Amino acid sequence: MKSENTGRCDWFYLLLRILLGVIFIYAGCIKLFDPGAFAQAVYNYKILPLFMVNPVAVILPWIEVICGVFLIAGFLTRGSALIIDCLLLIFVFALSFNLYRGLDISCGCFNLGPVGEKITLFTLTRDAALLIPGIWILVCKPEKWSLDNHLR
Amino acid sequence: MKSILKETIIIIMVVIPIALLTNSLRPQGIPLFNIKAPVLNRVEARDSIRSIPLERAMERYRKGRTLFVDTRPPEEYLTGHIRGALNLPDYLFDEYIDDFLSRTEPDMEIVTYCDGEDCPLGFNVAEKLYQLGFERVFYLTNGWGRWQDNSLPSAAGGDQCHHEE
Repeated sequence: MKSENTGRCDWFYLLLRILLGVIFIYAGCIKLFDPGAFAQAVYNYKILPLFMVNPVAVILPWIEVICGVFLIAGFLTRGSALIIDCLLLIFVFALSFNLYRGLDISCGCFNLGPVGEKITLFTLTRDAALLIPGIWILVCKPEKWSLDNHLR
Repeated sequence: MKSILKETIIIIMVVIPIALLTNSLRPQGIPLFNIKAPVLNRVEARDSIRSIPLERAMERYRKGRTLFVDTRPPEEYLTGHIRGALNLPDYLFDEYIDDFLSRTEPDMEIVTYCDGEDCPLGFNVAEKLYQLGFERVFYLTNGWGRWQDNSLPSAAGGDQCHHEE
């Protein structure tokens, strides 16, 4: 029973996938272009032990980009959504922790340059808000405009 | 749920080799395990490196015998820094140190700085320099911020971040 509601839901689901996908591809590409600066940003958070800083700075941007691409394509959609949700939870934790500690550091989210945005309640809220589409995509079944649906 | 976990594992198995391979091939790649940071005599180093108050740093700056070291990333250094300061970013320490050593003397007095009250980079670089044999190393907490607040001599640009003449 394909109702009008289902059609609308398909569109909304597709829209959320594209939205989150584009955001993560953009964020990942910025980090990919300058892994050194991103390593510095990770280091500044003072959460990871030193030996983990560079591996995380190398791998994390690729996870963001590939999960973003997969979300848009609707390929391994829910796996990508789970990874993105986990990342967002980690970001929310890291931002909250350092806001609580009062660390005046750059967010390293969408800008690694000299005037990169500082961590604030806004950056925290933004990451937390992205969890809403992330969880939505995770709990929804892949709909018609997705590779998953065609490959099944 | 099982299928979601399976998808997650597939993605991670795909991403990690791509990330490691591209990092090793591209010129901007970074060392994966950059743990050359000094571990020997770390405790001793921590005890020996002192913070320097802004007033004393200014006095030393005016005398012109103290080297100021900007430990922030090159992009931030290029935007603005203490006039005459060399750039030795904490995360590029291993890459820049040879160039730095060729421009300095071991008995030189050094003041490191970065930006922000809680920025650890100044102290980190001071510690590493101490380990390399510089015995008179200080760090200026929130150096760049306070330097600007007091309208002290600053400069922008520089020759690709290693130093400024």
